[in-house]
This record gives sequence, C-alpha cells and structure tokens, in this order.
Amino acid sequence: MIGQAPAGRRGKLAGWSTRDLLVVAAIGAALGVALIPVTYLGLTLMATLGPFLYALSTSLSRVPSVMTMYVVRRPGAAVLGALVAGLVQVPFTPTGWVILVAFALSGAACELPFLLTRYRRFGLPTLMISGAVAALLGLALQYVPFGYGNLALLVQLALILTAAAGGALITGGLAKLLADALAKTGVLSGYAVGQKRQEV
Amino acid sequence: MQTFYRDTGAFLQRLNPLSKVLAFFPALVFVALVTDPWTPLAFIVLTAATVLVLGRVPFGYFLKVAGPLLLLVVGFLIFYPFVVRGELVAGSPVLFTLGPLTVYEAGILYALATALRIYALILLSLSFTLTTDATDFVRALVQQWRLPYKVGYGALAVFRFVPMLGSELAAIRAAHRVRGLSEGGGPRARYEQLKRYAVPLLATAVRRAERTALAMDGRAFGAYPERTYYRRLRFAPRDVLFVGGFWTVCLLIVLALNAAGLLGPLVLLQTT
Repeated sequence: MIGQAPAGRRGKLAGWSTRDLLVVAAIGAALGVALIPVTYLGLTLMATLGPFLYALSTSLSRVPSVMTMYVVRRPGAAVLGALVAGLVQVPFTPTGWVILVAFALSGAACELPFLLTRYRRFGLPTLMISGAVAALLGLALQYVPFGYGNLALLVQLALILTAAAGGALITGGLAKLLADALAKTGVLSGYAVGQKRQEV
Repeated sequence: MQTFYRDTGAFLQRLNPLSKVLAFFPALVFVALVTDPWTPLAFIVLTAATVLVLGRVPFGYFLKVAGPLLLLVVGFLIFYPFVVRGELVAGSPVLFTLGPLTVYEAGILYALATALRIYALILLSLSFTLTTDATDFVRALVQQWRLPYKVGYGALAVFRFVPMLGSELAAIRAAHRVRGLSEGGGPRARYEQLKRYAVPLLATAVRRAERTALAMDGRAFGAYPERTYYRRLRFAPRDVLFVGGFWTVCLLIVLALNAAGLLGPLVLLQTT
C-alpha cells in the first residue's frame, strides 16, 4: 500500500505515515474552519437559550474527531483530528487556546470507545457511542464552571438526556454520513471506508 | 477571514506564547471555581488592563471584540433565574412574578455571578488570542512542550490550506449558482445543501493533503530523529518575569478580596 509508514519505527505515532497525518489534519482543518460559526453560535446560544442548545452545538464540534477516526482508523486519530480542528480555530475565535484544550479533551473522550474495542469496530453503533460518551464527559466538565449543579433536578436530567442523544445522533450520525458521502467521491480509496465502497 | 491577533510589538506579543498559557491557566481554573460576583469582576479588570497596557492593543479594537461578548452576561441574567434549583432561593425575597414563574433575588444574584464568571473566563482566553501569533504557538508547543513535531508541522502545513478553503468555497458556490441550484428551504434542503458544500470542500482538502504529504516525504520529513528549526523560541527572563508577576498580582487580588470578606466559598468546598 502506498504511504505506509516505514517498518520498524517505534515510539509515538508509530504506524502513522505522513499521508495519514495530513489527511487527518486536512479533514480536521476543513471541519474546524466550518465549525467557527458553530463556536460563535455556541457562545450566543449559551447566552440566549441556555445550556440545551449549547450541548447540541458542542456535539457538532465533535464531528471532526469521530470522522477522522472513522476514515483513518488508527489509534490517536480522534485526538489528532480534534487537535487540528481546535488549532485552526485559535486565531479566529475569541476563546483561543481554551477551545484548543476543550477540543483536545473531547477528542480524547471520542477516542475512548474506540480504544475499548481495541480499534476493531467502526460501525455506526460505535460511532454513536463515541459521540454520546464524549458529550456526557463534556457536560460533566461544564457542570462546575457553568453552575449546572444548581439547576432544578428535572432540568439537569433533561440536559443529560439531550446531551447523550445529541452526541449519538449529531456527532456519530453526521460523521458517518459525511465520511460515506466523501468516500463516494473516490478520494478515500486508500482507506478502509473507500475500499468497502468499491467492492459494493 | 480576520484573525484577532494584533502585532503591536509590545511586551505581551514578544513573550513565548506558552508563558501566557502558564500565566493565565491558574487564574482560569480559580475563576471557574468561585461563586461570588466580585472575584470574576476583579479578574475582568485585571485582564483588560493587562491586554491594554502590556499588549498595547488599541482600546477601540478591544471594545469592538470584547463588547459583543457581554451579550453572554445579559443572556445568563435572562435565562438563569427561572431554572435555578429550589433550595438555593428558599427564603430569599421575591422580586417579581411573571405568570407561573417567580423570580427571587437569590436567583438574580446567582445568575449575575455565573455570567460574570463566564465573561471573565472568556476575557482571560481572549487576551491570549489578541496577543499571540497562532503559528508561533504551534512552534512553541513543538519546541518547548514536546508536541511531536510531525503533528505540529502537519498542522502548520494544513494552516496554509485555510485561505485556499475560502476561495474553494466561493468557487463551489459559484458553480452551484451557475447550475441554478437554489439556496435555503426546509431542514431536508439544508442537509442537502450542507452535503453539496461540505463534500467537495473535504474532497479537495484530502486531495491536497495527499499531494502535500508526498511533497513532504520527498523532502525527508520525519526521516531523521534530529530536528532543526528555522525559528527558535525560548523561555527568556521576561517570560519568567511575566508569569511570576501575573501570578503575584492574582494572588494579591485574591488575598485582598478575602480580607474584605468578598470572596465566596469555592464550588468544590461547598456542602450543598
């Protein structure tokens, strides 16, 4: 296969060729730029309509991690995709490096379910679980600074359910839809997503 | 697309980007945990002063960026009092009633504290964005904090795609328009629209990434363990001075607030 990393190299990023790295970075960057309005929308949503729509908009910003993992299928792909998507946003959004940390953390959260399947399952259920887990962990991190713990209990419960469902459907679902649509164009023929497409 | 960075050549701009992260991080964590409205207010003033004096960011520009973010504060004031947990407002005087909704004084105070806290967090991160070149930030991450340089330089290479993505998007839009595809419509049409723009954009990005990767491999990117740098970033004495100074000022503010009895309990130490 073209672009395979040289054999025998160990340590960090073993098995990652420059091509994998740049494809992940490119998808992350393209989606990161597309997500800049979402970051702004998130800030205003949080201001005007409260945490519910904010929880949904953060699900949208996790699409790059799940999508890069689904395409490249290598350990670390979700974190890398999120990292680049966050880096691209640093100069263009007021929240700067804090959003980078947030992206990196949610990328790690998206990575977790794939790690637990030892990077063997990449079906829609795994993608959706990944989105939901990341959304719940993200919500947990927001509890303290945003003071959600002091909301009425029913509101809290609804918030948790919204986050989980939003994470599964928006993050997992949209990542798969986008990646499959992209695979149809043939640019991903070097990856598993694209090859399955050609067999059919 | 416009970046927030303002290169005025002032003290803050000449610092190592990481020393700004180091300086602001403890303040950020602390502000995230406080419950009273005074601490965030103090940090809002401190951050604004730091950016305006040490960063020499033009005052009008600072207002133009930071002003709209005040919307957040207003928004929290509207939303929060209605959904605050019952025990928090028990025994507090009722301010007014709006149909089935009752607004308590404690609810308003709580909303105010939360809103100010979030505004302080945003300003603390904004001060970094206003005074830091993003590519220098990546360089510093690679050189000082051992981010694998393959990741760092991969990201930098892809940074160059961003303006191209913009022109690419314009071309795709023009192509759609020539073919007479309409914009707008219901959610179904919106999804179709998203796919029409996103897929060609991603496809060109991936193609360009593969070509760039080939070019980088051709120039022996990542082939040797030793790495040399064109632009070297270091931690200079002024970085130590800034981080130490900022921490000291933060500590003094917190001690002063505590002495004045204005510092509320921290979230983690609360019993409720």
